[in-house]
Amino acid sequence: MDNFSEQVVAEIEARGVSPLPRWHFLFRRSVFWTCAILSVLSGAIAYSVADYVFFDNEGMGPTAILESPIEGILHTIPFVWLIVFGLFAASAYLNLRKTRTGYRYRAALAILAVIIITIGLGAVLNMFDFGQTIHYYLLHHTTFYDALIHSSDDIRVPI
Amino acid sequence: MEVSDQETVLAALKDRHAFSVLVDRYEMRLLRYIQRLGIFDIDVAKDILQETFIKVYINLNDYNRTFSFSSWIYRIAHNETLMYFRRQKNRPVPVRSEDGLAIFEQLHDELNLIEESDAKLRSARIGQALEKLKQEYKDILILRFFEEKSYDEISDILQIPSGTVATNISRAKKALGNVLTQEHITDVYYGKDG
Repeated sequence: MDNFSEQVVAEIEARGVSPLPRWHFLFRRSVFWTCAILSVLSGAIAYSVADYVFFDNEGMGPTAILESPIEGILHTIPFVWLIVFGLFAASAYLNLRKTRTGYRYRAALAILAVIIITIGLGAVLNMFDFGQTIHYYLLHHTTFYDALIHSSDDIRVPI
Repeated sequence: MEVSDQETVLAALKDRHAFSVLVDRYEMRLLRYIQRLGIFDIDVAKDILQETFIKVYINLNDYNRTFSFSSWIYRIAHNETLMYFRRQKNRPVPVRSEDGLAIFEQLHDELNLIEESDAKLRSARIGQALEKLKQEYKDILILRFFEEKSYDEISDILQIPSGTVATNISRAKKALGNVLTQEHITDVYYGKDG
């Protein structure tokens, strides 16, 4: 096409546009990375609390298990925290997809990696009793948490 | 010796007139690509092409020199064309007959296509069959068989994993084969008299 390149350059001048600065793109990418990292951290916290509530909760006593194993286990699974964990893991994956090379990884592999990293980090947090700390803080400083979680304070062990 | 795309990008960032080198280098390729995606009104195609280059210019600092510039500019052209379809709420028009013929030539053996005596009829049928495919299948067949892009390049243009590119090409060819079967253009009809 005759003079198309000149036409494009003339249009660029007419509109007064210029290349966006490099920091604009660095900032945009850093937002996605920050959101992804925060999501992984939040998911790890959720997992550490879920881990504590399920495994360390005194409600999982031998009597409760023998009386009604399935009911006992179901009562103790912290569904709320697992849902929160799932939401943050999904958020981490979606933010990773928006990064420069995130699209190159198959969804199943990326999601699996996010879940493994989040669980791993959660397990590390639990080594420092982080899950327990958050659990008891919410139990004693909020009114809604007790209703959402079947903690050892709630479970009635038959005599 | 031709200056590389990467060097031309650096020059264009300093002097906007150097950007015309990139426009000259890619205008015909991208115009054909935009038309293959379904824009046959030449004026509309040129508008989309111009918007593509303007967007490329605005985002020059986002170009990562470790990636192929061709894939990057194709991605912008692809996205601009899709945005046009969404704005117009249009479906793309059928593939051009010469492109239908090119697909026939390339996929003849894979899909066991019957040799039509009338080349125009053959290419028109292929074009109609392509039109019946999902847009993502059509896009990937165009990039693979007309633009002759590698799987990695298609991955960068469509922003999907390389493995998914391979899967989608396979599915697209199968879908095209199914449509052609329904259109009676495969070896289902081998053995018929005449």
